[in-house]
Amino acid sequence: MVVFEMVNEKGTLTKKRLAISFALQISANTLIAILLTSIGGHFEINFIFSQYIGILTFAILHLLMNLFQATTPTQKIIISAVSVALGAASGAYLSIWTLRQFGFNQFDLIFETLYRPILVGLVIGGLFMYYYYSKEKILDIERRIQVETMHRLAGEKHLLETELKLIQAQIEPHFLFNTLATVSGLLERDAVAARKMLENLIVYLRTSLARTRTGELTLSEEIELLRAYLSIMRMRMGERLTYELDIPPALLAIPFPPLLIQPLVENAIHHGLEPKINGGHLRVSASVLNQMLTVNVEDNGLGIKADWSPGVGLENVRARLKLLYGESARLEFVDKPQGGVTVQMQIPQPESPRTP
Amino acid sequence: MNIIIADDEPLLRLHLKEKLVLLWPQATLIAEASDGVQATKAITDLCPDVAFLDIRMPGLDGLEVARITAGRCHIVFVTAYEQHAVQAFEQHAVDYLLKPYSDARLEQTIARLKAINSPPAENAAIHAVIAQLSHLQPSIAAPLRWLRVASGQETRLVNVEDVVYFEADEKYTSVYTTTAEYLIRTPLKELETQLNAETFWRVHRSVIVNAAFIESATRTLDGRYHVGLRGRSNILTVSRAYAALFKQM
Repeated sequence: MVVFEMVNEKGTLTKKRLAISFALQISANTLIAILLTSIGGHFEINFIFSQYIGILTFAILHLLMNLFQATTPTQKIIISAVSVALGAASGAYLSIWTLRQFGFNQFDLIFETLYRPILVGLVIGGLFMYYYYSKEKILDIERRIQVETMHRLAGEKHLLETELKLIQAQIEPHFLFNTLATVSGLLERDAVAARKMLENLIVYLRTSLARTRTGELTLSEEIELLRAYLSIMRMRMGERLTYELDIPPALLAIPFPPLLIQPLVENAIHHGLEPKINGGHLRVSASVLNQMLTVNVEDNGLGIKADWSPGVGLENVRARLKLLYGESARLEFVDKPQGGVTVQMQIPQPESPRTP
Repeated sequence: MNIIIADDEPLLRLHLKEKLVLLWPQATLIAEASDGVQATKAITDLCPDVAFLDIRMPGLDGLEVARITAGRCHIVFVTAYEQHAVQAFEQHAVDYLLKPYSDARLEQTIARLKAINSPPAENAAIHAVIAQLSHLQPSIAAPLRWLRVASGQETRLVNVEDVVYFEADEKYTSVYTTTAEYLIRTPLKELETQLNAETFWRVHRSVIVNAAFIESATRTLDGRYHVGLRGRSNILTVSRAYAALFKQM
């Protein structure tokens, strides 16, 4: 029953280890036989029974563990129990067979003493199983703690990196300078339009540059930002851009972290519509179903080209969703067969949403 | 002096046009283009003396237009691109305008264009500039971030960080996320070179696992490790060759 000592510290089976284990096994079996004899019965008979049952149980256990690749404690317990039962039964059968070969026919005696080695075997086997299970569990807990720590540290590092990237990536210089160039050009020709554009740019900059935000933001603030951004892009791109914001008014009060939709919209324009000769249409919609807020950003632009890869802005959205909501938020990019991309973002809502 | 203007933004085009009329009355605007294809056609068909090209345009970008029409006319790039890209230009004869530009800066450009006597030679300089600029466009071989996966009729993008593990599947590679499974054509071997080795661990000849999803690593009696994964119910076996990854855990 010294099965469990078979595996050394490093988890490898060496020939030396195997020999030591085997010796230990034999010794343990012999000890059991002595123990049994002290209770009663013949030493020879107890010896034969103990050895057969011990060795067979060990062999069967090892075989089954390898065969079924048991990993969970329950699987291991079941396999151990089955092994002990099979080991005891086959061991007892072989013992009787062996004793017969030696002309030993006092079966009364055998049957009288038969239950003892089996019982002791089961008890000792059970103890070892318990010991093994506890040890395994402690090891497992320690590993879990280490894995958790690793994840936590990685998460913290990631958060810092994301925040850093957020500062760097939020305002695209190309956007800023082209917009300023447009404002500058408009000033002389159409001061009203220039002023409107400048106001929209201020809304855009104020939201994008806000680093320390206090209080909870709502979806309506993000929509304001979208309106400002899209209004600028519409003026710049002219006929090439049309858009619609389909947000039910009831959803505007939903708490919503800033700058999660805007990068999706910016991406749709930058990669889908701006590079398309005839431009296209952009639609942003939102809905809540089963405590899940779904935001869709759809365009009929160029679609996901082979060499296209979402930029830092989208990476940020993804990373922040993960930090804020873990696995329960989703961000999906789907290239529609009829052209264009749909980006779908799903964010879990608290149990009692503020919406009616 | 015949000129053409190419910019995808109508207001910026209009602005440049008005400024040129004002500051360079001798010049004649013979065509306007709102994308790279139109610009190329206008340059090829109309043979202007000067082309003002925006760099970022649909169809073909300004750099591509210049490359295709090299030697046909003088080129002034009109760009909102950052300083380092612009510096490349400063060492060469071709002018650039950084958006937004002042009247004074545009006048400088005009003066420079007026002073040019030589025909727009298909010189090495412009090629060097274009090459340098093209090089500055985002083309850095960053580690693989997004996987393009087919899902029915659609193409989806899956972020590598959402992948729990990859498994080689004959010619293809299966991609497992917590919620879905996809097939991609990239062989596992090639993927391995593109993935960040710090988070993506090869645990088996045919399996690469995302370490962020490893929930437990259990050692079996024969010294192998079994890895349990967050969000997936199946257990992965670590082959002996890669067991070292888990020994220190």
